[in-house]
Amino acid sequence: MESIKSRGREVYSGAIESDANKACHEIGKILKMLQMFSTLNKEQYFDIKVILSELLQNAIKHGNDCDNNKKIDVKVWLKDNVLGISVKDQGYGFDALNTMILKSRENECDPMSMDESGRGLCIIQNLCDCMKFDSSGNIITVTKKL
Amino acid sequence: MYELSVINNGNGNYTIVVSGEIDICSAPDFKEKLYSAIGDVPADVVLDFTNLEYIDSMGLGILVGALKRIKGHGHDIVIKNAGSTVKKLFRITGLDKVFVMEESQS
Repeated sequence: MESIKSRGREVYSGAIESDANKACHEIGKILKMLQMFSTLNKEQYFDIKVILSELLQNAIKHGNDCDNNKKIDVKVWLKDNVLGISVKDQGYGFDALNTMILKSRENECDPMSMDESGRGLCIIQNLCDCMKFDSSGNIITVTKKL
Repeated sequence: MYELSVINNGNGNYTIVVSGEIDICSAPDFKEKLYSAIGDVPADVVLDFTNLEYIDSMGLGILVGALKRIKGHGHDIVIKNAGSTVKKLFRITGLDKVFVMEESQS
């Protein structure tokens, strides 16, 4: 993970339980804290809420297997008008290279897909400027210009 | 928090008005209420999103599930008056090509 110094101003740092209600609560808290540091327009607010929600849903479901005993480490920072978010789950991780290949495929969602899930990464990548995975595969870091 | 209400337009036509936020907390309840509302509706269903402020992939997945049910009866779902941010998610995911989207009224 990037050093605190390189991240700029810390907006939020916390460990969230793998629980939808707790995640919702913390997303609201993060957005409030972010608004203390930066003026967000309606679209930015919506985009950031979606990004946080998709990242946490992904960590709860795919990283921590919905295990309430496992935590999700979330860090949010601002640097030079760029928002950074990193989400670390306690899962076993995955092959980052394969994930990147999968991710690039998912960049364009299949419009004819009638699957009820699997759109999260596609949405995150389209709403962010950069999305990267660490080598262990259980940390996702995204950045978005504000 | 969200609200869902069903308006009977007569002749078997219904409009389901959804307002508020469909997030990871409200999504399970929304799914139950939406599926119950569409039940055996014998026509296309209009989902009025004029006052829908937030939805994400979980909510979109529920809508896809509802569409599959409706299509099983030979009908469609019309998404009406979605705001610009909600419409953006439909466009990103390609679901604007799967659902019938009606332009917002100015």
